[in-house]
Amino acid sequence: MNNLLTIGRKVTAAVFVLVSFFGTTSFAAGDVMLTLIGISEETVIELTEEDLLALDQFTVQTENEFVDGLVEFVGPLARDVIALLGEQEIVTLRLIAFNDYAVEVPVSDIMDYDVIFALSQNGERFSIRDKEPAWVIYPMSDHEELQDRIYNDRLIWQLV
Amino acid sequence: MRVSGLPRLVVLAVLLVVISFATVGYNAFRKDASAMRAASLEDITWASYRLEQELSKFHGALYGFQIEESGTDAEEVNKRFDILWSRIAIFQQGGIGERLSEYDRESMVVQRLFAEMKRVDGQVVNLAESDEATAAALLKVFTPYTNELRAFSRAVTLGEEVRGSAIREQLQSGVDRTLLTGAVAILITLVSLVLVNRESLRFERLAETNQKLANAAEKASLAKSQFLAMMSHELRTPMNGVLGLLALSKQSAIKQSQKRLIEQAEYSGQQMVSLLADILDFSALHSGDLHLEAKPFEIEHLALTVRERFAPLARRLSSSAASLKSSGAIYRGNSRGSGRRDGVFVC
Repeated sequence: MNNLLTIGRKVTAAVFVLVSFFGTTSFAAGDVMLTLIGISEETVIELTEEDLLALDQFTVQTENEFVDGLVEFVGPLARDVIALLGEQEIVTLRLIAFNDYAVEVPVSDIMDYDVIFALSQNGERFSIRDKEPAWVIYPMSDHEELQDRIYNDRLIWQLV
Repeated sequence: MRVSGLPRLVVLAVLLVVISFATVGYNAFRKDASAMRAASLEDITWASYRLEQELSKFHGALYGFQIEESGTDAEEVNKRFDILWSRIAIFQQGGIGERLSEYDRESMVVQRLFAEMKRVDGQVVNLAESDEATAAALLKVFTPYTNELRAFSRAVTLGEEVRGSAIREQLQSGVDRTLLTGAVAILITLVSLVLVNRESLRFERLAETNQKLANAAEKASLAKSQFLAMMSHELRTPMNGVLGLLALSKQSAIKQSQKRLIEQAEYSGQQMVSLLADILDFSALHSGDLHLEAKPFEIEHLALTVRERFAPLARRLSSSAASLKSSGAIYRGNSRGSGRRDGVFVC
């Protein structure tokens, strides 16, 4: 049920997305939104809002258990963001949220499906009191197999 | 044993009922399954637990803020406040929010907590680093909610447990129902098969009996025909002897009146031979051995033959003798069987 419980599982390679919070109630320009940490923990990439918006923005229209009806999410593809690390041997991603909540996601998820790090919902940017900076969104309405508890738990928000 | 129309109707009716039961059962089963799937998707127990946890973290931050050595500053308090806010935001939309709000309908603890948060929002955002009094006041506001949220989490956990088991039970009963209807359907099919089999066996036996009867009748008829043919043959032999002797006696010197008597006896004898021939024909007809042939004949010649045959009879009756005048025309017709056309002609 809780992905935190599965951390002890054998992970051959992992990428850490770490908390980086600057104490503002909202992210200002130039603030680091996402931090990518490579397997060896030597590579650390800090991404600002501009960096994320500079990547190709992808739209996913989907329903999920946390929203009403079909919602349009926009943000960079997760695989594009992770590719910035330039590491090929990643098997599992460890996604960490603002509140230290973490989930482990097999990298095959973001390769097989158009998973995005959504920055907006129906054209509105998230607020820090909602899902900001980013919400991991799976195209659940397009793929019935994703409508499962396992994937529901991977919809981590306030991703940092 | 005969299966009348009524049991067939009953079987048909039961079959229809079973089919409708199966349809209803299948639909219910699908509904139950999708309800179970939805229930497994909406992990609201986890969401309520996380809310409880975030409140206690915010509570902890407020507490730490008052203790200088803890290192908790206003930023940390604000961070915890924002996270708590985001947890409550879950209640506002989506399937999970709807179900969580259902549990909150009675105690309204989450709604009250949210109203309280909105009320103190300004105080939290503007919390000055040394303003321990405000932190203490805020702590007082939120302390009762920690226990209330724990109760809320427990209620959600218990409620979901009950709901889950209800769905499981429903699913189980659906499975049972479907199995039962399936078993009944199989039973009815088997019974119908047995009935149909019995019926077909009955018809088979009936056909067999009928065939036997027909064979026996055929045999009996054949025996009769054979007997008749044989008897005709046997009777013709002595009759030919009698006719030969009559012809011989006619040649001796006898009176005219005696000759007429002999001629009459001869005529009767010939009648008898002709009858026997007819019987033979009948037997042949019966056994399918009678072959008719078509060939031309002279109708005048036929008429003369018939007149000669009937002349003694006419004379004996001493009425005006039947006369036949030839018109000279020759009718060349087709007749079937030379032996039988004179008979037809007389009639």
